[in-house]
Amino acid sequence: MADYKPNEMMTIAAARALKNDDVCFVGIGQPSAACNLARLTHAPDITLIYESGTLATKPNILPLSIGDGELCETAVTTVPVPEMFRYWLQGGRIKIGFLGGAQIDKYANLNTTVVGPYDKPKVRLPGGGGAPEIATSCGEIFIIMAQGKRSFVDKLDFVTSIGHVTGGDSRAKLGVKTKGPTKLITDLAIFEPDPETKEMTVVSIHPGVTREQIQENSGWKIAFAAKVAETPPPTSRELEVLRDLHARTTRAHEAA
Amino acid sequence: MANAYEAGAAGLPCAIFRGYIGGDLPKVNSKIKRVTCPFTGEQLAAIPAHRPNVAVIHAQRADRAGNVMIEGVLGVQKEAVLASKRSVVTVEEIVDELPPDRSLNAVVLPHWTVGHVVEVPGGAFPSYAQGYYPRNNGFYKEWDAIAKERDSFLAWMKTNVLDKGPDAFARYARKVQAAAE
Repeated sequence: MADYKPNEMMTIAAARALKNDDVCFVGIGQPSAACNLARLTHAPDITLIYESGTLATKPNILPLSIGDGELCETAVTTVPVPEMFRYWLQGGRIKIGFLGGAQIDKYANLNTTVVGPYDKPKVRLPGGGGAPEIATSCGEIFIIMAQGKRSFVDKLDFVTSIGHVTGGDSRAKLGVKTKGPTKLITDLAIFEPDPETKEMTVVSIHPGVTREQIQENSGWKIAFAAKVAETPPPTSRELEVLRDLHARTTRAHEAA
Repeated sequence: MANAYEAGAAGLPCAIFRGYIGGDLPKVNSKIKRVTCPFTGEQLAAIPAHRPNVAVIHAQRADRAGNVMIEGVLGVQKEAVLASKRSVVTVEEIVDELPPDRSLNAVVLPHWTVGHVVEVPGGAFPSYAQGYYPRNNGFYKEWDAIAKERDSFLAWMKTNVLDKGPDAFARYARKVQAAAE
């Protein structure tokens, strides 16, 4: 088995969750790496959409921002941002929204606004951007986030984008018809919502990771499914394509 | 913001959309309200239209009449100009005639909707202008640290903008363009 980092396992496990015929709204950062890895490996025809209005884009390097020229040059078309949100996102034309966040709770609600009190934050985060609308308008949501006590918290400092709210049917009760978070991929495991409680539940553990590690890196008591699988380790091709992508990206971003 | 600009461009008082459901943002922003659709009863979010005093955008080209052509990522640039009372459009070049082989939809702002057009080559720096020059990614990343604190931002602005003036920028922009060619 090839040597790999937990972060690489996370990106690769996230990429595997995507299919060739998916239409996916891509968040910048970790989601962008996972979505493009999928496109460069098993899902060459996947439709990737960024908030800047670039539809079906095929960037050769990962974008530094949603507005990178590379996204536009390799897209089928680029639409204005208001149209992006109205016709494409709210219009229900996007199957999967791929998000990251700074904080997550057990119902996969996300915080990208502040750490600490809103009026006197310890850290001011980038903000919601389009995430609140992505979280409710896409057919379903995949989330990619590295685990840690500060990011996997019992109670969010601020709810920017809803997941399964307070569990059970609380999301549907708000009038939201989409599924919400169906997958949470971390550097340690893969979580899916329990069919009844909607609590994010470990369904697959990455090779070499223990249940204790998953618990130690979370701020709530972790639920494990009755049957927990072991995530297949990265293949040498997955690792090669991912590392090439990051190397190309670093070279391009360091260029003056 | 995209919705607010769009409503401003349309001359409507507010934007209505399906959003901010269940989250905390409406608790801290009193301008996010709920309205009920009079036809279906659906609860929707409403926010006030954005009507800036002035919009400043950058585009690739304009002709002498002031018709503005933009290609690439459009963002909310058209909406921002139409929503604002006055506007300044800086362009990479002012041309006698727009290229005849342009896309038939590339003129996004006809001249009577634009306040002022100013030729500012390199005007998108440190970002890019599609078809003209790439973004300076190194500086783009450095900017995060400069802009993080008000003091470092003001100090940078004083040294590089206020104490130098437009001539220094023009010289710099020529260098950026030459490097891209």
